[in-house]
Amino acid sequence: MQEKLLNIKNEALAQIINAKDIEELEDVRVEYFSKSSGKLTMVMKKLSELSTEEKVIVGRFANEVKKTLEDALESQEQLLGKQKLEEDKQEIVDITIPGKIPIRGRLHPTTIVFREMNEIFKSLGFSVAEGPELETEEFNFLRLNLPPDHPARDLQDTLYIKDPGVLLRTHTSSIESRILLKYKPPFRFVIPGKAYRFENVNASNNIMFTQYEGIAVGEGISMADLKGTLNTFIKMFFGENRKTRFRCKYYPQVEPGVGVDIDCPFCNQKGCNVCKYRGWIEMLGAGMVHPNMLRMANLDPEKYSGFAWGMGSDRIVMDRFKINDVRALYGGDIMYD
Amino acid sequence: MVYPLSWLSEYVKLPTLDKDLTDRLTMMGHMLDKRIQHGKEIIIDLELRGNRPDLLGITGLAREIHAYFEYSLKLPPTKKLPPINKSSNLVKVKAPELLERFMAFPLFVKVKASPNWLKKKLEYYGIPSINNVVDITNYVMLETGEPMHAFDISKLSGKSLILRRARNGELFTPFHGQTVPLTIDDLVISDLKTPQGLTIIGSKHSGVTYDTTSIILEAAVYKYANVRRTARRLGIRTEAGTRHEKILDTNFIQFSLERAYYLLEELADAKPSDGTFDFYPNLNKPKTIIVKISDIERLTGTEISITTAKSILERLGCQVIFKKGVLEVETPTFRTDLIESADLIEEIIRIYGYERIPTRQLAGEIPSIQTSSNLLLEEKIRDSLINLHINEIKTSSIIADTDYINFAQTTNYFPPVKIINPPDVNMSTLRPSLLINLVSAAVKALNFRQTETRLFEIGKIFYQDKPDKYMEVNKAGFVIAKIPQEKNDRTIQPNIAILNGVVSGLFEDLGIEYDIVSGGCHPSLDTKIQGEIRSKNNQILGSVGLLHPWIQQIIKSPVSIFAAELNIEEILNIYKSSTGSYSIYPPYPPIVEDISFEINKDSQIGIALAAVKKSSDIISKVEVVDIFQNSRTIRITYLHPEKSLSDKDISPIRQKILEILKNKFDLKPRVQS
Repeated sequence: MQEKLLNIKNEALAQIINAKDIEELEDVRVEYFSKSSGKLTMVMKKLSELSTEEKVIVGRFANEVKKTLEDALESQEQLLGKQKLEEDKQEIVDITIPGKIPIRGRLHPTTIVFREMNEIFKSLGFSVAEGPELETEEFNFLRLNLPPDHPARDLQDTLYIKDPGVLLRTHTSSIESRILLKYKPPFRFVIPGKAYRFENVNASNNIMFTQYEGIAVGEGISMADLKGTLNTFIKMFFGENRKTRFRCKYYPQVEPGVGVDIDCPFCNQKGCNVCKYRGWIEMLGAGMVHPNMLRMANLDPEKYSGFAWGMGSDRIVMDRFKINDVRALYGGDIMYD
Repeated sequence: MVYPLSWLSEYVKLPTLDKDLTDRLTMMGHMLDKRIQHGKEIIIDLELRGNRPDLLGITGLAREIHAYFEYSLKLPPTKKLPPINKSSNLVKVKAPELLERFMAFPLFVKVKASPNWLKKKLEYYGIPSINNVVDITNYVMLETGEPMHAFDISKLSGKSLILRRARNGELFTPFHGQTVPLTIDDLVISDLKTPQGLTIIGSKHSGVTYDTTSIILEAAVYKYANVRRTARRLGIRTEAGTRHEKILDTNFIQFSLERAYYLLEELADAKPSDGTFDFYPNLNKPKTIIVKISDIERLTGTEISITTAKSILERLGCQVIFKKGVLEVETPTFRTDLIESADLIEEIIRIYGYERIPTRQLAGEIPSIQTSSNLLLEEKIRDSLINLHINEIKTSSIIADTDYINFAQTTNYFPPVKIINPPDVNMSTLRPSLLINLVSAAVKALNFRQTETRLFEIGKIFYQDKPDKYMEVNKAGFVIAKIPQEKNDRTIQPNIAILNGVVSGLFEDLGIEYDIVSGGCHPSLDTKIQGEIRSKNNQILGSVGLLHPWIQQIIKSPVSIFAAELNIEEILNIYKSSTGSYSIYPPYPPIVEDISFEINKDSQIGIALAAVKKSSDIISKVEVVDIFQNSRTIRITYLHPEKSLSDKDISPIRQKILEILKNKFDLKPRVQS
């Protein structure tokens, strides 16, 4: 019997070593270890037919063979497993391969700028307002301290639907007139929107343009608040290190009036073409809401005060996204994909 | 306006460094536009505020410098005018409604060349030297800001002036430029026969020359709006006109004439030949404005002492009395821009220095947020469409008239809203639909070799509901177009499925249930291939469909374009807040079955599937999985939350579905699997 066991061991070991894959190895295991018909199993069953002394010797030998084969099976299994992993790795994979951006939708550049500005002002307690593009003389001019024949009205070349009576708003300030009439102070609004003027169209002037305006009215609001709010906005939108300059400037809607400049980033204030050699770029017009405007809205200027500001947003959008022609911005010329 | 520093320094001392001067002037409201240097000569060009005509004379700026730097102001010498002659025949005013004041007096003069210093000063402004008399009128205008004119009396028919309206068509020849026709809106300074001057420019005929021996010297303040209209209509721009278009001070012209008189006596041996004519019906008295001390800090947020405030106003030419918590301020008449307290507070703070205003964050109660629900909904729609891979465009509300005509193929569009004075006469229509610009942009993208374009816009459309009743409505629109994989593939249905997929995603994000019903009357969509998006209570939320083939042809689109336009207001009525629902993986496996059938031209598969889905609680999903010619395959997913389903559970439901499809919708299944 020992001879038989030895033969089985050698035969099995040879088969185990030659097994090329896990399935073949499994077949070998079944061939020798299967409960019903495995070769080793059959021989070990015959142990019971031996005498007691023979049982001890042959039994010990049989167990050694069994263990040897089991160990061999296990280590061959591991070897075959690792080999398989190695084989799988034969495919050449390059981690640096450039990817293709999945299809996505993109916001219009002006929306992105408006949203950023809105977020800044929302954190300062402002709400967002909107209003009609078709306006009347009353809200576009009269309530903004621009009576007929006011010299400043020349600068507003108006597009009329009906003269007089109905026009396309020349600035988003018309919405300020409506806000003053509709809401009781205190209130704070920002107003992103489109406006229209009679212009000779070229790369930097369009009939339609966008503006970003704002107004805050209440009791005890002063130029110090105007400075603080606009400073915060400029630093949050243009960068923490930006410098601002608040100087006296005239607009019919405000008194005192303020022009807000920021330092020219292109030349570090040394003077260049962009800032017309002034070192500063005009960014916003602002000031304290003119008492006439408050009176026309039945608000007592002795009790209430407020500040307002406005800026042209197209130039900011074009600078940020490096678009050189305003007609492309609103002409559907932007390539998205 | 340009200011040569050497001339300016005749009236006030200047800081040593011109940068210190211009930096301060910029802060005070007169921004430095350019600095020009010729050798030692420095000239500054300032951008002036529109309401400060007093700065259009160099002495006006000198006063500003005196107000801040406190160097003494040296006004130039003047000579008192001859006494007023109330019965003077020198001037007849026939159009008093166009004048505020007209002063004139006659002089004997010796006309010769101007001295060099005078010529040089005019050169800074590009004004040519003519002779001493003409040059003095220009010089005084530059010095004081008040235009004035001298007429040669001997060249005036009647040796006097008449101020009247022109006759329609009456001709006038300015001393430089072409003859122009006038209207009755134009004020002329005329002799007995012909106009000798307009408010903005004198004539060729009656100007002062070397053989002139007597003149009428005049200065006036006209109604500025009228001057502006004349200047604009005739297209004539002059130094005088620029000043007359602003609100000038009637009081001040006296000072200017006195200055001119002084110079004429010095340089032209001038002697008066009669008294002064003065038409001045409304005496301009200085006004008194009350400024509450408390308002200074309330508005500027800056603590300024009463002494400082008073002293600033006095240096600007005001008379100030402090009593009982207010400043009683009598403003100089040449400051026509100072009307009320806020104007004076600006004066105080701008001379004090805006850079000294502290910075403070808006304090106080944060007002309740009042962003309109319409804007919030628009942002939601925007985000949803971006997530559905549609790109946003923003376009003008004004469209080309031909675009309007191309799109208004049917008569279903309301009359459009039109601009009556467009800069480009071919672009005078306001868009009645967002699809016009969207389609245009889509075609542009395809022509620029994009294989696919998906665009949306949220904005306003316009139309006339009734004559003169102008409507402005918020809409959202999107278009999808693609170049097909196979060149001649013109099938429409798969693209409709894509279009509806976007609609589906959007409304799922908004938490709104809807049906698409075939039919509808959007004027720019194919009459047979469009549908209405209807809410569960039958509100029309929008339209979807194929762009009308006539339009596709006219605009030369290479492929079919699929479009939708949504009514934001109707959506707003239903929209509560996005719900959207999420579920967890089902514990029990579903059973999935496909059914194919042929459709016919009246099939409305969307409605059929909605009915199928409703037919049993354990149908969790019904979707279209294949579109091939006229065959459709739908996939039905059966799912029970508490047990594994078997064919026994499914079989009766399947039967019901087949019946519904056959009997209610005339859809006969071809194959069952």
